[in-house]
Amino acid sequence: MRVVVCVKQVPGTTEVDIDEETGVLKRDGVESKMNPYDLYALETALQIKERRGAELTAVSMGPPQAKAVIREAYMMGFDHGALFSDRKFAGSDVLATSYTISQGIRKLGLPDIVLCGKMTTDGDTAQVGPALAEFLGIPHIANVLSIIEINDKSIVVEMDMPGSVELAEVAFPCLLTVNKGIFQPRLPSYKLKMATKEREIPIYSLGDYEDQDESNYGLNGSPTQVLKIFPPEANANHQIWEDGGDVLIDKLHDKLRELKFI
Amino acid sequence: MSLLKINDDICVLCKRCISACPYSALIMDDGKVRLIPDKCQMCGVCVTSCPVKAISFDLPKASGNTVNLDDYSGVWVFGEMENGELNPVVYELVGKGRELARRLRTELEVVVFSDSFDRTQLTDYDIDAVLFVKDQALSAFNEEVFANTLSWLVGIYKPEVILCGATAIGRSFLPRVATTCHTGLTADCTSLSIDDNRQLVQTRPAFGGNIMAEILCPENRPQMATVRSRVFPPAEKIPGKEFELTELILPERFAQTSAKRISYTPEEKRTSSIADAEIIISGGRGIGGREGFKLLEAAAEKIGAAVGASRAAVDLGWYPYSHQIGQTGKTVNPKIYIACGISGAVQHRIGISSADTIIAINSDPEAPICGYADYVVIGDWKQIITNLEQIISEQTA
Repeated sequence: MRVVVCVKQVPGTTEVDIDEETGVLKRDGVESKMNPYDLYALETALQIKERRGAELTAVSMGPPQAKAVIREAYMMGFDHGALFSDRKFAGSDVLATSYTISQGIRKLGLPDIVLCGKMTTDGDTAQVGPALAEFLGIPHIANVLSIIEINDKSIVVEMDMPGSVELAEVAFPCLLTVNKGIFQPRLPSYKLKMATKEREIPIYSLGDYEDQDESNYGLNGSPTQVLKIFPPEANANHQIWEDGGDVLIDKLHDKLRELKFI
Repeated sequence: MSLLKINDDICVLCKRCISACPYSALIMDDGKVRLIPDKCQMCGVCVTSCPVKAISFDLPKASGNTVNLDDYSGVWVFGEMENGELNPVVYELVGKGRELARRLRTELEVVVFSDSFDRTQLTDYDIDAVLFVKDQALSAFNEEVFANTLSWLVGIYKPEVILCGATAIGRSFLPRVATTCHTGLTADCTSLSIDDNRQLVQTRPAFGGNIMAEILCPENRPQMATVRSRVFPPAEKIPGKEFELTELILPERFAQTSAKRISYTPEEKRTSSIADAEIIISGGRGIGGREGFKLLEAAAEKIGAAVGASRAAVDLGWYPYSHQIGQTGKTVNPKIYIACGISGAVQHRIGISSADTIIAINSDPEAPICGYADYVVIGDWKQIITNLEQIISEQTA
């Protein structure tokens, strides 16, 4: 059995602070990291491997420095990795991203299971997994809470739906997006870090792909365009109470009374 | 090769692009703004942040895969069903959809997939038509079957806009439809409008920081967007308003799938449903731990409030995910929202934007939440909440 897990490198923190003197971003010393939701997908693959044997590949799309997240997967116990990287892939929206990943996965050979995290912390769309499944022409199940059973031909999973928990069986090949908490992700191991230090991370660029039409990738292949970016509006009419102590509590109390809550 | 061009002659060195870049790909070097190509992901944040338009994408937009925009007309709302009833978000999208359709001078239609549909659920609502695809295969949600069915309808009717709730179902099958139709899909929109070129302007939060992005889908159709529940108000009824119902039979080939539902277990209604609460007391990283939530619970009980939590607090394991408020948690619309020790980044703000009154208790006046709360209380949340609880106890005693 072969399992491919999609991972992404994301900005280290979403709490951005700016150094007033230099105008440079301060990110708590962490420039970038593995998308936290992907750790659950990686752990799910490792659990499948431990239970019934599987060959695991971690793939990512991004600039060359995104190799770091593949290396992290090696340190957790992954067998292979691949990075889909090309300047021509830059600026991809959901459609172009999932197409680029689908072309890369086809290059590696379609596995039995593709696993994705629920979403990324930078894009926050949760759309790439299902779109990727469509490009690969395979079924998918989103919001997977747990794996109930796995055999040679199919997998039975529990999925989180609004107001219900459903059991679904899906035949291979398939794609699953897993929820946070499906398994507790293990930490990278120092032993594996040493053992995989020399292991290569192959890079696939547009020239390696079957479809080399540039209009399908990056900004060109993206139907959506960002028109404008702006900070959310501030509330100009708000009141600020800094009186401290009892005065403040009275004010809050009066407010709740005014609004008829007490 | 860099695909981003910085024009040093125009650049005024305001450094806004450097601060705006989520990937730290821009730096000051030798008195000029420089790009580190290996870090750049071409997200375009810098391009839009530049006040003097000194940064641009250095490539011609290819014209591949475009469609004739004039072939597409009509606004569709996906009528998601839950146990035989339309999900409440459908009525909210009908309200917004009518506004967009009016601006586009086109029709508003609701699309329903099910084995049965009671049309009185839409009686008196201001819609022009309902497209009801009736099939046993649509009685329960299936990712592929739903995606195939909607893609099939898009091919026949060519709507220019499709709105869908950002529910577990919408989020799961819409990306497949956008892929098949080769078009854009914008997740979790917080605002939708039509510009002078008949384009749907979709606003959504992006890049984790305090940024909102306006997104267009200029050359592809339909323009597809998901919207979380409670972001828009429900549509008002217009008594006597009638609509046309068209019933369609699903061609068998679209019902093929290798995924099947084995069982369906409805969850019991969560006891403290924060989604329906009129008053919510909520805690974040600033309340320090599980003990802090105990205090919030005690105060909440006194005033009949529900307890919510920020993503930071939930990630730290202080409170269950079912109480998380914000973009990755629940959207709430209480009359009063009291946020204790929550910094309130944009994702949290999205979850509480329909609260009538937001009261922020925070020791840091610089916290983002202090910028948009209606009442900002600068001080120690613990002292304020415990004292408030005492006062109320004395009164009710």
